[in-house]
Amino acid sequence: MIRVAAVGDVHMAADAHGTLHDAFAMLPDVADVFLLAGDLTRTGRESELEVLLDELAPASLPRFAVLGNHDYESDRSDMLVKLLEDAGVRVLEGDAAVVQVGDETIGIAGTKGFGGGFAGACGSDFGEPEMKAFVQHTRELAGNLDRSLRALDTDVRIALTHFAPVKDTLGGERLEIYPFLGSYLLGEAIDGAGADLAVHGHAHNGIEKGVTPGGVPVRNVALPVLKSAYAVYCLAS
Amino acid sequence: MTDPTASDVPPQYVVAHLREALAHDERVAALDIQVRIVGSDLFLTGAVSSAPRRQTAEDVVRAQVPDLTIHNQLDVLPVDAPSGREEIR
Repeated sequence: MIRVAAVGDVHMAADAHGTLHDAFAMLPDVADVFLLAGDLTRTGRESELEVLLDELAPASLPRFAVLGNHDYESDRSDMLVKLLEDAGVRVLEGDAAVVQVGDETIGIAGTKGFGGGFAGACGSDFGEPEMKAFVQHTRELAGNLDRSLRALDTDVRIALTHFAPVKDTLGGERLEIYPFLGSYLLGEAIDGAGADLAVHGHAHNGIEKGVTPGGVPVRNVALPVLKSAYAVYCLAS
Repeated sequence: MTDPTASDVPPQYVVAHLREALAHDERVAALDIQVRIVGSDLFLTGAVSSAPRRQTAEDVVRAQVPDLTIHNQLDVLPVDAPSGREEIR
């Protein structure tokens, strides 16, 4: 049994010291790995991330993250990645990592992902260069997710994104903003390559549980959805 | 660009400008706070991470539309450890 703890959209800020510390300190007792599904910061500044890293300090278990759209706001994403990696948090973007837990292996493939919408109501890479760039960005990241998932030969495979791969978990969000919340291209990559669980954030007004068209369980772990510091999911290989 | 404080601006545009202000004020930086205007009443709904941030969101809006009565209905998110876990399979 592998225990996966996950949360997204913690949106840490300089005034948030201590808010998550106690809950994160319990992580080594309740989980084998911890996934952060993007939007680690409010405006993408190192000072905000440093608060999160302080909160994470007692969480001495394997930790993995993808960045979210807020983490790009200050054009400092490279520095955020360096800070995270220096603190022992592996940042995934179009690649994957493997963790050994007892006799079992967990593979985690991650990407921020991007928007575009869902089958039947989505953008196409057609027309203006700006529209093509929008959709092609999602297509590129989804392709990377597909490849990194396929490269995993582990007992359990998890897809970690910030943007949503399905609309199931968008629940209470307004229909008009679905194209800004995720893309079917991510779900198609997950179904094509296969995974045991897909975890995402970003949709604060969504719902926790969904499934891809191919049957992969999807969990929206945005903190406003969970209404707790993280969720814990158990998977038998 | 419309002036959100002008009395003849349709409330739909005022809401759009207020949401932009809530996104770009670095003390809030929230894209998911809902703003609704009914007559002279303005309702803020959604969730924020702390009580100070809840107040800041209200302050940002009040600075833009000082003549409206603001009803701050934002919730503050709990951040405790979860009480259980889910067996996915």
